[in-house]
Amino acid sequence: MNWDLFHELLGLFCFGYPFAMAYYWMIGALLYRLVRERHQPLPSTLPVLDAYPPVSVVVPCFNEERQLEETFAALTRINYPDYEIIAINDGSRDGTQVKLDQLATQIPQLRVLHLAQNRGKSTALNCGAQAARHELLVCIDGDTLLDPNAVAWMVRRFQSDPQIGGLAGNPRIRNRSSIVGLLQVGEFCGTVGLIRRAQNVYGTLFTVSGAICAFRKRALQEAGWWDPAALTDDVDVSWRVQLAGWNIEFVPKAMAWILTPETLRGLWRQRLRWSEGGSDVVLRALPHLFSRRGLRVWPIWLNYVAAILWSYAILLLIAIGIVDFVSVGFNVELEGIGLIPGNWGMALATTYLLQMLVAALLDARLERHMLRTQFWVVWYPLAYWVLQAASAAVGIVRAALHFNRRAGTWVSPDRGFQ
Amino acid sequence: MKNPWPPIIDRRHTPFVVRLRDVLLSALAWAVLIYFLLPVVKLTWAGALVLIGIEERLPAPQLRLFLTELRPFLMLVAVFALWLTAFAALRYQRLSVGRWGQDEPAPLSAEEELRQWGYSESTRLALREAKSTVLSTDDDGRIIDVESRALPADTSEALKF
Repeated sequence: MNWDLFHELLGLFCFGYPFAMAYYWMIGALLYRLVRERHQPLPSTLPVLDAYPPVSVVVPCFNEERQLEETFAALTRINYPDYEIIAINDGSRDGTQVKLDQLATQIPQLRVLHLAQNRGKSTALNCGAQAARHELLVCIDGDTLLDPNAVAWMVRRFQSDPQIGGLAGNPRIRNRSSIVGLLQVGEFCGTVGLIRRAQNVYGTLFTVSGAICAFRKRALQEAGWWDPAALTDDVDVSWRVQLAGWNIEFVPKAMAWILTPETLRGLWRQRLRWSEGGSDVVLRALPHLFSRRGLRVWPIWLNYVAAILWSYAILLLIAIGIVDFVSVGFNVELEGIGLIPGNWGMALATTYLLQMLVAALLDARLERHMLRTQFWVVWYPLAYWVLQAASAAVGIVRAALHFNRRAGTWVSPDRGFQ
Repeated sequence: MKNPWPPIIDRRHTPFVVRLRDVLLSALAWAVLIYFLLPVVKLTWAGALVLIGIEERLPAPQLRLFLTELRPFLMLVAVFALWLTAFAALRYQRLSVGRWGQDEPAPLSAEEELRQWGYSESTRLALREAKSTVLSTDDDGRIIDVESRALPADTSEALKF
């Protein structure tokens, strides 16, 4: 193949995909703000609802002994008149069982299910849903601190549209004591927040966040509930709920505070799992794409495939750039191929800064000092893209190799420096 | 016990040396990013000179990038914007007519749940009534046994809420 043409195509794609998508997300997020958020009360305000249907809060736990007091203390402070809490101990090996029983004696709304064997998060969620007395389920992780107004904001959105089968809440990063933690604050605001808003505008979300989401039981029933074989339960159930004809929407004001990895190793493992799980869902969705309901997932399916191709392209570009750089004296020359195309690097950097600014301004209503945290997100395009690209490239291979996996498993996450 | 909210774990307890290192490294990263942005800075500066009347027009080379090389990408962005605007307008219209004239979906009935999960009504009730329960499941995650469990009568210390 002609090197010049190859170089040109590679460069165009490596530049064009993040450039065009950044503006797509920004425009989508601004439209979401105009259409959905403009006339809404402030996030700190407790919304007034037409009615207050009872809600079940489902909390699957695996080896969460250290986190439980904080998690359930936050759940006792929910500003909602009628709710129950169901904790599912999925065969934990630490003191989770004792701690949950102790909590159940002190929190009247709490009931505890102990699974005799460790079965994975999806099974734990299915058991919690079966024990739930109410139609609306709010699901959080065992180390998630739910905002007191989050349940009310979610019920408000359910009431606005009977076609909504699931809701994605807004996870916010708690641990901000290292660069890795701090730049995830920018990522969740500047990338995840923008993407979810944009996807909400055209009506199909790639995924809810497992750390904070809500579902109607009827939607889960029609979607087939959580799949014990899914590696990332949240991505899998989101696609199946939408393929069953229900809508999933993003509720930025339904916030929950989460712990994230603060080491590169922990971050890599987390991203690899997300990537493998996402790729697995995208591969499994292939037969459904040509059904009537499958048409709606085409935009997110194509975007995911483009993201995977981009990951390979950017890694290839970097590898070629390195070979070109070190080849002096080895008689290997790849004329004209560099790491970042000159002026285009500038256009990308400008776009990136604009994206972060738009995201910070949109999120300024949700959390104070968002602009200040943008100082740290400079790492995102310089180093983080490479990590993301590498995890996506490896994730698709692992997903293809493990396609017939029997059951998903829990991964005890790196919860940062506390 | 105080409950600080939002419950952010900040850098207060991070050693000073680590904080200093992070700030310096990030400042360096910003310098690299700004290096990429020099033409934009120059273009902004030239634009400011045009605005205050010192220069008559913008220099051609900087503008060429935006008007020529980026044109296909900007057209793609325009298509995206039109696509999203159409969806947003549709959504706004549907929201402005209220609840789309539909009723709330019926909650999942007990019969439907029993049919789905394949156990008896007594098992369903046991699942929903007991304060603490031990569940056995099969390999597919289906509940095969439910056993109510007594909670400890006395907790050694009150939890710190």
